[in-house]
Amino acid sequence: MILHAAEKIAYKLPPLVVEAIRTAESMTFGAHGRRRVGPGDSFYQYRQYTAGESTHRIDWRASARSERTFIRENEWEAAQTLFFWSDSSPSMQWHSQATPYSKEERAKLICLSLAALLLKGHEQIADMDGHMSPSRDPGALWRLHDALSQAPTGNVPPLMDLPRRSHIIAIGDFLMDAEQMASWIEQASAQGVHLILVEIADPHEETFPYKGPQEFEGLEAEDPLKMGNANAVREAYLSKRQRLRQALQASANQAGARYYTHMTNDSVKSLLFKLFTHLKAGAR
Amino acid sequence: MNFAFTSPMLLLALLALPVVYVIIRLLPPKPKKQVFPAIKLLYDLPESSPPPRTPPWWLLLLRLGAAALLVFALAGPHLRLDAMQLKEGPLVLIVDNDWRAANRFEDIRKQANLFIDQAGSLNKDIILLPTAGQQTPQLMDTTEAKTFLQSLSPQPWVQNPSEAIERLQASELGQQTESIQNLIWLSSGLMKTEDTRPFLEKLGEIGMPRIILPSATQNMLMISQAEAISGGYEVTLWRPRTGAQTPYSLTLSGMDGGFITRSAGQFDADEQTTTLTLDVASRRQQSGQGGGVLTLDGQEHLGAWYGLGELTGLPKVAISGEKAQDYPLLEGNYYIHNALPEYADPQFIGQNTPPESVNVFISTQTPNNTNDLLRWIETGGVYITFAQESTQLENMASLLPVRLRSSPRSLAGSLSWTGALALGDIPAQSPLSDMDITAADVQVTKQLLPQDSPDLENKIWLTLEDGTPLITGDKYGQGWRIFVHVAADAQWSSLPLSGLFPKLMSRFMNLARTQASQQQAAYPLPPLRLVNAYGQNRGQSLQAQNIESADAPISQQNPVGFYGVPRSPYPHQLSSSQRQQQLLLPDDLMGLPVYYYNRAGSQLPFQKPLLIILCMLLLADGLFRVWGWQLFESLRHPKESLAKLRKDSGKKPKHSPNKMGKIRKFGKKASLGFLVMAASLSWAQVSYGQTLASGQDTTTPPAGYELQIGYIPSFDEAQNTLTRTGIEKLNTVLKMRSTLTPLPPKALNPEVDTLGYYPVIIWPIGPDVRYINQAAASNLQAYIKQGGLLILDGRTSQGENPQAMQELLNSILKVTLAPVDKEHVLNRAFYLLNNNFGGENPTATLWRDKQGRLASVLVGNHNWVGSWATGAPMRFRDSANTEQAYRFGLNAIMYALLGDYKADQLHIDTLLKQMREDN
Repeated sequence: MILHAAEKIAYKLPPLVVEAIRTAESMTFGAHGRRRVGPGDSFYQYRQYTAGESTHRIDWRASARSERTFIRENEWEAAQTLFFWSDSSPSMQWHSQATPYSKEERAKLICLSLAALLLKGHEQIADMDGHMSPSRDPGALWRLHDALSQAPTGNVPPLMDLPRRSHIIAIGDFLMDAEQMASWIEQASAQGVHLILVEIADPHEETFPYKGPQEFEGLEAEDPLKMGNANAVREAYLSKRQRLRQALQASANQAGARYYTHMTNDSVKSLLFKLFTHLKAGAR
Repeated sequence: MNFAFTSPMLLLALLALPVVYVIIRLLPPKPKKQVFPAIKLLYDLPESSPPPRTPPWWLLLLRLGAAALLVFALAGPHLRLDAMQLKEGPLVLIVDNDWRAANRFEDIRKQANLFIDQAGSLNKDIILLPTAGQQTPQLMDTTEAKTFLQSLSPQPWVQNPSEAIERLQASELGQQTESIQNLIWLSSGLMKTEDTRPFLEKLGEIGMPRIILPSATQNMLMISQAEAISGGYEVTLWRPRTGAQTPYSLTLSGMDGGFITRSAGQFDADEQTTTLTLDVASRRQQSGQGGGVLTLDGQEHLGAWYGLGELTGLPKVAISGEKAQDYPLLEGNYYIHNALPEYADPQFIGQNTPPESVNVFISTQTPNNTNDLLRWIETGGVYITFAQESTQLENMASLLPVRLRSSPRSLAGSLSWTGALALGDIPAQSPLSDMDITAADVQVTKQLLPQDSPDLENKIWLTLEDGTPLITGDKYGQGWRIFVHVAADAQWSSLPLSGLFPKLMSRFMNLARTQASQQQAAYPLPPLRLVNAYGQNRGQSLQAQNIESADAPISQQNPVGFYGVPRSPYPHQLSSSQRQQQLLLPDDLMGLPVYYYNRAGSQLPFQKPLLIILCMLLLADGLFRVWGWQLFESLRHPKESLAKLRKDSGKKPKHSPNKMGKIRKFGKKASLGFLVMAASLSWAQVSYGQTLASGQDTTTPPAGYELQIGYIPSFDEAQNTLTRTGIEKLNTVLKMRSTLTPLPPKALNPEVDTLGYYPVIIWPIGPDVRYINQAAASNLQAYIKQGGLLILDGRTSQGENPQAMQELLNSILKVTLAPVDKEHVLNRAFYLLNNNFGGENPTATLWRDKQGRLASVLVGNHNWVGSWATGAPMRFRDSANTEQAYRFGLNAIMYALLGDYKADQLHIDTLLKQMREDN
């Protein structure tokens, strides 16, 4: 069973992760070291052993080269933790004829690209559902991918106790459940975390090119809807969509969150660049 | 004209249309299903309306129309044209079936069948009266009448249709009946004007006739006369109906059907008679002996069949003096003889005056009595003479076109200023003026000059570059005097050696007035080769009898064809006035009721067009189903949708294209395309009928004209494989032992392939030899005539088939054979064979065809391909017979490629000398 799941992941994972890494690699992140000794993974300096210190810390190999005894000290690295959430409800698993990417695929790609980018800058990443602990080793990207794939389907991110000053990056088609989303933004921002929201939409959802008699079916067990001429409702639909979006943006603004919209036929890179510059500005 | 249905009961189904209407109304077009995640946003929109319960009115109309059309089409609607009602009494059909009916006898038969059916349904008796023949009229029922009708065919003679009526009157039947109500004349539509009135009166005696005529669209052309002229025939063509411009093509074939020549022309608009000159002289090689037949292509009746007793004869040529023997290269006669065309088999005569029968006389000697010769020229002889050292001018001045100076001038000699002269030009008035001499390389070093005279200019036929004449000539009486100002041997000029010389000679031959000799026919003449009413050979006829005298009419006893003996066939055919038949027009028929074939009582069904319209309606419906509202919208707002289309096509997907979407779109387009194609195909089939399925010419000219050996496969695949292997091994031998590198052998279909690409074609005649139809036969004949080499092998590994071989040689290829003797070039074309041709039967006689200098057909009984196939040419371990078979193959191919080059002993001295030097 595990093997089977692993195979499935192996099948699905490489293109997505590879693409994420490729996208991330075209950008660089600022060095993040604290320039002083402390808990960390990377070497910082050698220091002479002084009596009284634990002998465990002696670097015997370095000491053997000379007459003195050295202690190896690492650089203190304090990283931010970024929590990722991507909507994996059935409504995300759809794409129109205008694009080959489903919204879910695109949401994951954005998450993973950004995560890869952040890992390069030694930031910690984690998911919102607690499937992985915050980490920043290279394997974290794979674990994040798994975690995102296993996330329970829900239209709204869960509420968690998160450390202050950490970031939440949430990606989904928020307009379907705009009210729930608005209340989540309010509650999450009350915890003092930074929110970054990316609303994903399919081009056909944005333009509504349907005409003539149509029977619409939902993906989340909604009642089907027949109409005589789809073209007639186009204006009404588009303005309703616009209204919802404005409302959501307003509540995001109030909570100090950033709100981006992304169409699945747009380039990932431009969005990634925006997210990245925003994060970089926040880091300083 | 009225409108009817074959099964009108089916129209009751139209009553069901309201039901169809209700069903269609209950089944509106289903809305298209569309998955849409943002469906929540669509709920409770104010502009949303439920889908229509009924289809739009135009779709309803379309489908109801389609249903109604289907019912109509199935009921078999047709128009009845020219309804003809039969009256009381028996039906009497007078059926034209002499030669005039040949062109349209199928129409006549069809029409007669219709009437017989009609009479059958009314239980009437039928009397069928064919106009050609002697049958006694009888009362018949439908079945008998149909059988009798089926046995009728157009007959190759002329018979007055009044005779048929007289037969009816003379019979018991005619004496019983008073006046016939149902008298119908199925006319051929052709009749002499002066015969029309008497015949109609005769018809009126026995009843009230109704006349069926051919509709005037058929275009009949006749050969009215062919007159022998110098070098060919002047053919007069005639057509009964003037009108539009009409092209025709006239074919001359031998009496046995072999093609000789063809010429095309056209009747101009409103022209009734046209003449055409057919050149036979240039096709003399093909014509051979015996009679010929002129036919108009596409006109299959005796009016377009013209027999020629003797083709415009080959000129008979005589050369003065002896045939060159001892030192041929020094004798003018040798060059003259070789330059003559192959058909001219000259006789060498010692005397000065040729016999009357000779048309062309070529002389290099000075005659002593010019009077007889002059008389001969006056009656149409062509006298050609050459300059020579010892010309005694005073003796022959009257035989020359110009007066000559006494001594020749020398050019390029040690004492002359000028060098050798080349050819000048041909004056416009010269009979040779259309010759092309630009390529001819002739150097003249000695020449006899003419004296100046006022008319000299007009007599010069060919000049040298300084303007002095090389050939002069004039017309004398009906004949020609021609003088060549150089000698006939190569000492004065290189003219006798040049390629121009044979061309000049054949031009001179064409000047000869040769006419079909009007020899007295020796009556009685037995039938030789008779033709049917369509002008095709039908061989012998039981009823045909000898022609007793020159004025024998064309009748059942003496139908059209050739009579006499094969050497001098006598064509017995329609006279010029019999050919010039007039078209019967309704105005000439004294106001009698006239109907037309294919229309009287016939029906014009139009089920097919209805079905086509139905298909189109269904197609439109299908279009609507596939594209539905989008199509409808784009029809309503064409601009908007166009702009959208442009936008869509301008925007390309950035990553991999949406494959599924594209495939789906393509599927739609493809299915639509298929529908359109199917519809147009069915349309094409309706309008043009079935297309002919025929083979394709599979040959391509070998690149760079490399050698490729062809073979004609049999029906036996094993034999074909063997043949192929054999020729491939022979190819290996050729590659190893000669400079030839042949392409792999090619299987040929003589019906369609171009055989001319293959210098050698090998054809094993086994038990499963393929059939040869007319097309293949003429293709093969042409191949042989063009100089190809056909190797027939009567023995194969599968067995022999002597009957097929016999038939092939006698009836298809029409060759006579002679054995290949030891002196024949084939015995030394590459290897010295000494009449041992290898194979399974090495000493069997090899036969070749007798005609011509080079054999075109080789017939053996050796199973060469079998031997070749078993050999191992790469290892030199073959039996003597196999090796000899390879050698024969090599020799045959060398023979095909080089001809009798090895027989030419001209260079033997040089060659021997060279060999001595080499050694």
